[in-house]
Amino acid sequence: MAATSGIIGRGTVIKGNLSGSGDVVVEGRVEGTVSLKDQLSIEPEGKVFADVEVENLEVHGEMSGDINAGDRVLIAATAKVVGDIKAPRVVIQDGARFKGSIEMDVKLPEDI
Amino acid sequence: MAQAIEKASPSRSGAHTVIGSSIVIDGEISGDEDLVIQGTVKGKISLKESLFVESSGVIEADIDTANVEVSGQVTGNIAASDKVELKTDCKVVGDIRAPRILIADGATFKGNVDMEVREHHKGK
Amino acid sequence: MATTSGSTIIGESILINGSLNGDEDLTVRGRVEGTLTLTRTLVVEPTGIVKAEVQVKNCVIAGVVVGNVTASESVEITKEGRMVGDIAAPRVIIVDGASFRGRVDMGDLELPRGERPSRPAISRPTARPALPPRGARAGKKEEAKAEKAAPKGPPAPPPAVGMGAVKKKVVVRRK
Repeated sequence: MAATSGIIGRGTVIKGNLSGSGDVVVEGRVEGTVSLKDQLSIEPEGKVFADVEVENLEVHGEMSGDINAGDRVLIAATAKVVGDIKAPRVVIQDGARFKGSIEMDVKLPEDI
Repeated sequence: MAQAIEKASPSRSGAHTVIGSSIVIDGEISGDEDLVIQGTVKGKISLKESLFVESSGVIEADIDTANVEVSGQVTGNIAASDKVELKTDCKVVGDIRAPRILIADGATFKGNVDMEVREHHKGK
Repeated sequence: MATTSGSTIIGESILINGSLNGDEDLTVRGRVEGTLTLTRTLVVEPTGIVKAEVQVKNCVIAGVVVGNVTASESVEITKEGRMVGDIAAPRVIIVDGASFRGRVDMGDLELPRGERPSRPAISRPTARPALPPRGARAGKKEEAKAEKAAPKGPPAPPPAVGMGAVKKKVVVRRK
C-alpha cells in the first residue's frame, strides 16, 4: 500500500491538476483533474469535481467527473457520484447514489 | 385443486419448471425437462419431456411433447410421442395425436383424435 | 410441494422466447428472451440467461442479463452476475467481482456537474440548496465569473478572477 502522500483538508479547495504517486485523501474540495498512480479516497465531506485517473478510487463523498481506474472503483453508501466509469472492478454499495455509465470487461457466453 | 397441484408436481423426474398462476407468456417455450403450467401460455410449447397443465392453466398453443397431462384448458393441437391424459374438469379444443390417450370422466374435449399405432406401444 | 402464491421457476433446459408477464417472483435458471415484466422479484441464477427488456420491482442478477433493466425498487448484481445494458432503479448494488457494462440511473442526483473548468459552464441552474458554509459562497461567485471567462482546457484554471476570495492554504502533508 502506498503511503498517504496527501490529505486535502476540510477547508481546502484545489482548482487545477492534482497528480502524483501515493495515496491522496480528499476531505475538502478538488476541481480540475486528478491523476494518481495509487489511490484517491474521497471522504464523506469531500467533494471532487474532476476527471480522475487513478489506480484505485474510493468515494464516500461527492464526485462529479469521468473516472478511469486501473484496478477498482468503490462507491460507498454515503457517496454521490455522477460520471462515467471505466475500470476492471466497480463496486456500488447499498445506499450509494450514482448516475452515469460503467464499463467493465464483461465475458458473455458465445450464444448471446 | 390442492390435490391437483401436489399430484402434478414431482411424481416423475421432478418438475423443475413451474409457470405460476399469475404468469402470462406470449411466445414459444422449449426445453428438455418437465414443465408445469399454472398460468397462461399463448404460442407454442415444445418439450422433450412431460407437460402438466394444471387446473388454473390456460394454454392457447400447439403442444409437442413426450407426455401431456391436462387438468386445465388447452386450445390448440397436441402431439405427444408417448401419452396424452385429459383429466376431470379439463377443457381441450384441438386435435390430439398420440399413441396413448386417456380421457377421464368429466373431461371436456372437442377435436380429432389420432392414435398412431406403434410397435412398442400397442394400446395398453 | 405446495406452490402457494406462486414462485415461478424456469428450469435450466427451458427456453422461453416471447413476452412474459406476471405478478409473482420469478427465478430463471434457463433462458428467457424477449420482454419480461413482473410486479415482484426477478432472480437470474448463475445458469440463467435473460436477453430481454426487463421491468420488475426487484432484480437479483447472478447469471447473465443482456438488455435494459428497470426496477421500481432495487437491482443487485452479485459476484457471479454479468450484465450488459442500462439500469434504472432507485437502489443499485454492484458487488465486487460482478461484471457490468451500461448506464446506471438512480433518478435525480442533485450534483452540480459543471463546476469543473474543463467543462463548458452550466447554463442551467444547479439545484444545490444546502452547501456547507465552508468557503463555498466565495467559490460560487468565482464560478459565475469563470463561466463568463470562457474556460479553457483542463490544465489552466481560469485566471485569478476572484481567486483572492479563496485564499486557503493547500495542506499537503508528506509522511
